[in-house]
Amino acid sequence: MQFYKSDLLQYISGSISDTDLLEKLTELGLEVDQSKKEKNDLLIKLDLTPNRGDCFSLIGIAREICAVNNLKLKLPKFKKQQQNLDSKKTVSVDKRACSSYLGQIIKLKNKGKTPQYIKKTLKAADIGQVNTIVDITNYVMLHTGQPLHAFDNKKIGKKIYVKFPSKRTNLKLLDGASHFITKDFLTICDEKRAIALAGIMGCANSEVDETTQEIFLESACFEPVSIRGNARKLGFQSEASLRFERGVDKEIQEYAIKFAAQLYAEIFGGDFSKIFKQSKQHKAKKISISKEFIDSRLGTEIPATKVIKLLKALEFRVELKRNLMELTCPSHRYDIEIKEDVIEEIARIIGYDNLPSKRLKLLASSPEDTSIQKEILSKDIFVNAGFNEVINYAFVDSSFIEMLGLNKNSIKLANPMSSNQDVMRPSLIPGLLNNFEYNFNRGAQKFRIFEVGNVFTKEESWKSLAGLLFFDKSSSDWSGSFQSSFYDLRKSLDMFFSRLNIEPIYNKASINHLHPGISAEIKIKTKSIGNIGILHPAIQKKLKLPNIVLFEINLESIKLPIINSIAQPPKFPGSERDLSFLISTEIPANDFIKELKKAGGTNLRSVSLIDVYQGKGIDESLKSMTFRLFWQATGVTLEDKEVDQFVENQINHAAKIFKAELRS
Amino acid sequence: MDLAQEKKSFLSKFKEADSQDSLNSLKIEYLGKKGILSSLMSRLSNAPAEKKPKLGKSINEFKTLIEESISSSLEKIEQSALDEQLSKEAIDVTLPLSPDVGSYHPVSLIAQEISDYFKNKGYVLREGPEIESEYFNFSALNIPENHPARDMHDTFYFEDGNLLRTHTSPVQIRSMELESPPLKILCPGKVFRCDSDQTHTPMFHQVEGLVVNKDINFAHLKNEILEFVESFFKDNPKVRFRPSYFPFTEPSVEVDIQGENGWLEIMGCGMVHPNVLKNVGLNPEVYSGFAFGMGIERMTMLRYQISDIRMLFENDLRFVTKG
Repeated sequence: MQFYKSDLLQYISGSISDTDLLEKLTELGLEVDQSKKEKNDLLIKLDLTPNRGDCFSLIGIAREICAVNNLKLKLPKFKKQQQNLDSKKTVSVDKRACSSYLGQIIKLKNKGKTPQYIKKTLKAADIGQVNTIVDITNYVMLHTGQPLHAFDNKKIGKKIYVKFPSKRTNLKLLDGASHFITKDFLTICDEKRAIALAGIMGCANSEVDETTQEIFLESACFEPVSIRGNARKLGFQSEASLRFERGVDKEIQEYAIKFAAQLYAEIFGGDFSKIFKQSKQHKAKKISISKEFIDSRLGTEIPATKVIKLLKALEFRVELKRNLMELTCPSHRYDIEIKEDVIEEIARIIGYDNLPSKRLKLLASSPEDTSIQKEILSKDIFVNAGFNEVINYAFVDSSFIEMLGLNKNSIKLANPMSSNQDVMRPSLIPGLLNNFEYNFNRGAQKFRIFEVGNVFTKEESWKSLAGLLFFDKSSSDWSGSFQSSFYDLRKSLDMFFSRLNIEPIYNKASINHLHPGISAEIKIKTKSIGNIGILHPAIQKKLKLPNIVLFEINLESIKLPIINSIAQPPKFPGSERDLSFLISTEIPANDFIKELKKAGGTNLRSVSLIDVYQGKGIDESLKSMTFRLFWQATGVTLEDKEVDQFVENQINHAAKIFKAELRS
Repeated sequence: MDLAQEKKSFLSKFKEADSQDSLNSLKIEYLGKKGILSSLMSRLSNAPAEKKPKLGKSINEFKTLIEESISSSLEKIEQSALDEQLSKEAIDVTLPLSPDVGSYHPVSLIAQEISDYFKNKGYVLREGPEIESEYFNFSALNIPENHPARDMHDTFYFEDGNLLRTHTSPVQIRSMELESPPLKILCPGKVFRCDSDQTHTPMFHQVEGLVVNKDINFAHLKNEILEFVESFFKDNPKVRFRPSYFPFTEPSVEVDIQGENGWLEIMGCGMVHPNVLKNVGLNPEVYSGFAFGMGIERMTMLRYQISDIRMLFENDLRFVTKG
């Protein structure tokens, strides 16, 4: 809603400064979006909330200012025009959809020109001039909030119906376009056809123009529910639909039609028919509220006299019955429905800033979602490991997903912003690759990035954690500390698992977007929770990307560590042995270590791999692995011969299971 | 040979000794088992009894002189050898290094700061799904179909009628359905609206708080917000509460802080609308509550003086690592 201060002042007796006016409007909840000094006037633009349809009018705004500033509202009275035109019209109305329908035939005597003051008001509101007949309807709407519609009376029949169409039809509206109308659009019809879309826009078939000599002026109250959503379905909002969707004062139709009639009389001169009227008795809303309830919700004591005074200023009727205030709501405040709405009115007029504040002493204890804890912990671990967090949009390009060979079960958005954001991400990998590309093209050479976020498939959604590692070797510095092999990323991941007290299993696997020889499926016990590997060379080639290492795991499959006790470290000295085995290159180290542990007895504390060798001096099908084994018992010192026995067991076991030989 | 002469001879030899070896052999020559000192001692037994004490004392003094001279000289030599070795080991301590410094995304940092603040005030963190139903995102929050309030949210839909949540408020509904008051929760998370310009991105983050119990009032809400603003904005800005409209709160409030160029909107809040309480089976005559919500990107932009929200999701590493 946009208007001049001078137009507003017509309705206010008393003066108010520019700054005071602007401040008061915002404090009332009628947020001032912009204001501009113009000549001797002030142009004000309000950003109105959907509940305040009544303030889509100058009178509505003036009411508010008067209530908060204790000023008197000046409402002009309009005389009934002499009804000397004997024209017939019958009006029949679907009263569920239209509570009140008023119409008047006006025969325009002379040619009329839109006066300057009307032009100024329309211009302020950004409403274009059409012709004087229409300009007057718009002018009255801006003042009263009541949308009016003028039909060319020569183009319509004697009978007017307000009804829902019995079948789907095509209508040419005043915007010049044809629109397809379904049965849930309320229409104004004559005997033969629809002549307007109720509360939205008139039809071209009954349009007024410069040559129009007789109009049928409509001032109706359409129920918001019968208008809501319909304009949006057509893809536009009109000044009328904007107001009817929010609601229009049920008792203002007659005032508005008289207002307009007076203007037509002044500007054109005219003969007026009687006002044809169909309306339902409007029942004023009543709300009972106690002072105790008001005080308890606002957290302070407000004297009843003060409450009554300010409610009266807002045009509520107040009756006192025992300890209850019985309020009758003014017809223009159709947004007031319940006690809490009244409390807002009281708070608003007192001023939110003038109400007290009080510390809340309340402790509610219930456990925190573990999934949030996991997210926080994951971020902490990866940031501490030198990773940079990124946050990507949750929607990605479906063709990119397909190219990467990621889950094909992604969910499509019905109304994406653009075709490269058309599906919900089934994985965090596409986002990380985009981040890589963006930064690599801008000269970044080191990448340790990660993201935590939800991923989606048609069946489910879960919280995922993914990371990307890359280092451009040509930019290696003197220390050579930054490395980016498969093992470097796996080390970060191992550290993550170790912090969570989890022992993951890496199994060689074939994963669409990863290098078949340098990738692994990650498992906890038997459950697969993710993967790690080098980006598939074919994809690298297509995207012109270098060797990137990636991982992604499902955070929901991970449990937070529960540590109940910490064991005291053994006090007795342990024994260490180094063993070198010759093993087939096909055997994963993990499997071998597992068997060494099995055969090493309960006191085997650790198995570390200290050397791996393939090449000269060893058969091509074999690799040499050197392990350092450490035994320690809790209550005694282990004797050498006990340890010798374990070693022998291991050597035999390895020979049996893997045909491994001890290397001399 | 008398003692004085021996002393003189030692001093001249000691003067000559300039290495560890020569000092060690001097030590053996004088203090060794067959050294000069022990022969002096053996001669002492032959001396006349009355001269013995004085002579013994002199020999002991001589012994101390030898020991101290040699050991102090040895120490000096060792010290200088160590000095030499250490200076050879010296490195250039100024060689530049590039440590692998991790970083949180600025939005995460601010979300964490806000969450931590409210956790310390006794709020419990709650999460909910990002793909929601109409019911949880709108209807349960007192936003009926076709209501103009839905225009405030440009919603992403899926073909099955579900949608991407436009705010984190559905989490409040889900929490209230599961738990009974007193309830004091904080819901951070991603939300989605089809909109993109300098101040809007189709995805952003919100954090919402909800308190429900008996006797929760507007004064409590105001205090909670005022204390938060004081903690978050270090220069203690002026705060303005102004009436607004959200279908799920009544009264509804928009909170502004005084910035350099006028008021800056920072969050929305209000008393939980009785219809929302009814929708989750709570009697609004008995229970009341307040809720508040803010955009984390907005708070991030205010904290770091960022003017274009889209920068936050470009993930330029020269930018998102600097929070």
